[in-house]
Amino acid sequence: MDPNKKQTVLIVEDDEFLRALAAKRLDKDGFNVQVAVDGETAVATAKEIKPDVIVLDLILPGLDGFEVLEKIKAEESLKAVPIIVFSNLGQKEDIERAQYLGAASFLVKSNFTLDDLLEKVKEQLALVKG
Amino acid sequence: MNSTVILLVSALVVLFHPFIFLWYGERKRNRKLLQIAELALPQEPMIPADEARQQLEAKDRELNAKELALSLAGKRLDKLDTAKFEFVSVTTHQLRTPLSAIKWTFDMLNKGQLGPITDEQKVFLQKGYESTDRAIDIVNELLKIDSIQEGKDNRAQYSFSNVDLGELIDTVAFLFTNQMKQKNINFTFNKPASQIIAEVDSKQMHVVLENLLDNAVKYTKSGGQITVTLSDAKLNSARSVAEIIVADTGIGIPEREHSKIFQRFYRSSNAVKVMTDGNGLGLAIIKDIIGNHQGEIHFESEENKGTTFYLTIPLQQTKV
Repeated sequence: MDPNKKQTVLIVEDDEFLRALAAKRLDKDGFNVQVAVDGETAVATAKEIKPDVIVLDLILPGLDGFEVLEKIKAEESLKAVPIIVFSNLGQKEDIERAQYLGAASFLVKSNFTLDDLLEKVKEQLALVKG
Repeated sequence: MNSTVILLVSALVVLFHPFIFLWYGERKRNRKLLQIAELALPQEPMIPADEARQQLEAKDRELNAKELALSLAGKRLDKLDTAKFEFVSVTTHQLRTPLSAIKWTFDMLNKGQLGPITDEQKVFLQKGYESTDRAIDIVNELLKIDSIQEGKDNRAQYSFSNVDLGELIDTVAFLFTNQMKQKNINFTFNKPASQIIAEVDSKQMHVVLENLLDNAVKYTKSGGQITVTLSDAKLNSARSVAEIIVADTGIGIPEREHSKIFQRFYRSSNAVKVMTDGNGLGLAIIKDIIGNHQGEIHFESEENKGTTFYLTIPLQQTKV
């Protein structure tokens, strides 16, 4: 992999302001940030751009985050891409379901800052490389 | 001839007169009884039947009313259940989303990620961030109560399965790694060499361990020690039990308050001072759950020295 090439993060988030903040934070740290505002677009964009990591909200219009997770994990060319679930759901059942569907990590948005998210993204990328 | 007949009849009458008397008397009595009955009939005999019918009808109406009340209560419970579900989804998503936005904005501004700020501005931004975090804590606390309360005291709703207790403790302890690191609390888990498998409801036992560790972490000052010990010491010779001991070097429970500590909403006087926003439900819930596991819980505690909770649960549940 070209070390100078920016790594791509796909942020799937339907709330405009949260999406802008998260994108800004990751962009500031030198990532190539792509966004999707709903489930269908998320799956299509992921297929097209093959991101290095996906940050995924769960409550989305249309396809929800769980379905997106399922579809991406079923895709041969995408199934190795780590998916960080970043949602405000967070009951035990939600976490277990996301884990079962192949999420690499689960962060409850309100309990973390965007710096924490950045750390998680870097951590997942290091795991993939390592 | 005539005289012979008269004689014969006389002889017969003489011979059978006791029977004739009896027969006559019987007839007379019967007639009298009939007369009494006839006298009584128009007023009396219909009333008991009527009354019985009326009573039956009343009972029937009562039962119908009860059935209706029950079905209404059932519907009301369903409605409450829906309301509760809505409450959870509202608090999780609708409240947490704007709170996240405020928190992140304060955090980015505060860290100068959105441009330089003055020291004075920084103080205000920090306060704003902390207030938002408090609001988030309240939301999290509300959600915790909700998830704890569902099925808390109904053993029928438990689903028992064989669970590796060591693994369960590891999972729960993992949730507190960051908090313990932040408070510089040393954590030790004395895990037995071999697995201890017990028949428990893993979700409920998760709640028990989470609450015990949460208390231990909350009420232990930085630099303290929390020790969890798991063993299958046969404390009760009649039944194989697992024992879990959670010991901390925290603020302890004042002795005069020992008897109240498992009461719902009760918080010890010193705990209230340390953490202002507890709900006083944790230990009451734990006691319910352990009871539903046919287990027992007790504790030893000394103020300013620490608290040790001992809980025992049978490896196998007996049918109830």
